[in-house]
Amino acid sequence: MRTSLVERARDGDDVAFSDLVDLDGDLCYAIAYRILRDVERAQDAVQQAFLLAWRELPKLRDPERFSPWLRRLLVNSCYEELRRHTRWTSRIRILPLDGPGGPDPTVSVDERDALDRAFGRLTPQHRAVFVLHHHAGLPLADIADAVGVPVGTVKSRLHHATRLLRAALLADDQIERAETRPA
Amino acid sequence: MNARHPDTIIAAWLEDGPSSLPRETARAIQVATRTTPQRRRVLGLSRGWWTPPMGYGLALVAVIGIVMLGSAFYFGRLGQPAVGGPTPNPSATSSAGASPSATIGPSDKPSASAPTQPFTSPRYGYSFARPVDWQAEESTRAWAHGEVVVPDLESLDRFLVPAVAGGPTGIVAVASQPIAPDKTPAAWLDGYMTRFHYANGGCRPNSSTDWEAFTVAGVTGWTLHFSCDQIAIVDFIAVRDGRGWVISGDRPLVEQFFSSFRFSK
Repeated sequence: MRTSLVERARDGDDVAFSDLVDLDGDLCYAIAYRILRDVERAQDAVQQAFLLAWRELPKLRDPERFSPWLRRLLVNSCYEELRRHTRWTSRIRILPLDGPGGPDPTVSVDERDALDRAFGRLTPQHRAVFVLHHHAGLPLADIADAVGVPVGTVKSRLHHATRLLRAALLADDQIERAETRPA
Repeated sequence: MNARHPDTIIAAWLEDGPSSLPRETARAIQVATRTTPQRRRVLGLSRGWWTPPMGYGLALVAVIGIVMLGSAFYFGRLGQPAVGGPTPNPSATSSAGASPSATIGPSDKPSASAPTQPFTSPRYGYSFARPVDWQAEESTRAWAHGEVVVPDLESLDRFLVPAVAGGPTGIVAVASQPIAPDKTPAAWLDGYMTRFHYANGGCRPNSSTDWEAFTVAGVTGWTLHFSCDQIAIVDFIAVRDGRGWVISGDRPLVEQFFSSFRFSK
């Protein structure tokens, strides 16, 4: 079904492309949000990726490659969003959503802050690898395809990102213990 | 791995957040898709230009109109007293956006000498002298408030201008919406400027500070100039009598549009 939609969209069928947006939009948005940690910029990145996909679709020779190709466009759009000068988008900022049930109680406010700060220190490339693996559940080879680096580099980035986030949690935990220790 | 293991916390933190693409974004993509040409290796017009560009088109249309009008005014081509020059804006420092890039296509030769006939939009309440070779495609529904970013094709009056010398079809697009009761005119303008890039697809101005004050038909609004695929675009937004207006398109065409544009209600 997806291949048929891609073929029709490649021939200029915008309705078929809309169906592809329906099929892949949610996952793209979820990935983009987790890389960018910003609702509006995630929306921008997704829109940018899909528009680029639409424009360049006639050049995609193998319709079966649409999904990995789209992921690569999405990751690049996220990189661009992170690079972009955000002066004008920062004037109005929608607060990040916590989902229908609110924040996950598994994560305390302090832990969330610590993880947010640590994630913010990661490069876009590290963020993308981490999210594609731990959120999208992609195999390392597919991640390598999406971000355009060897599998070994993906492993290295994944290890570094995971270590940094764990360290942030441990540091936060140590600070909390020190603060609660009786004088 | 227990509930307080670091990896469990990290996993829970990572899962927090939205997972469904907002409808407004999906719709913006669909609108932009319908109005954005695909890159094909074959020569000839891209189909997207035959259906007027609305994604970046609408924003584009609005922006273009203002700029063209301004230059036409200053060069004495139009001489319409209803159209004034830009007013200095204390908050927006115009820069690169004010310098139009090369324009190729219909905007090179607006059919200024073509015969015209009056066009009046009963839905939105404006009129202008439509050149007879401008194909009018009127909106089929109103642009409701709440649809802040960009009206869709159904809520847009579009005027398609035949290509010149093999260039793309030109466009001018117009729409207006009532401003929600809880929103001020300034908030509407600010919201549009901030979210403007949704309407532009891959053709974004450098900064919202490129917006410049501009007056059309006695109403002062804001104009933004940018280029998309080497086509100079202008976006004009304004608020009048509780309605937010967007006029966008190829710069020379919008300038021509503004030369006879009037609010009719």
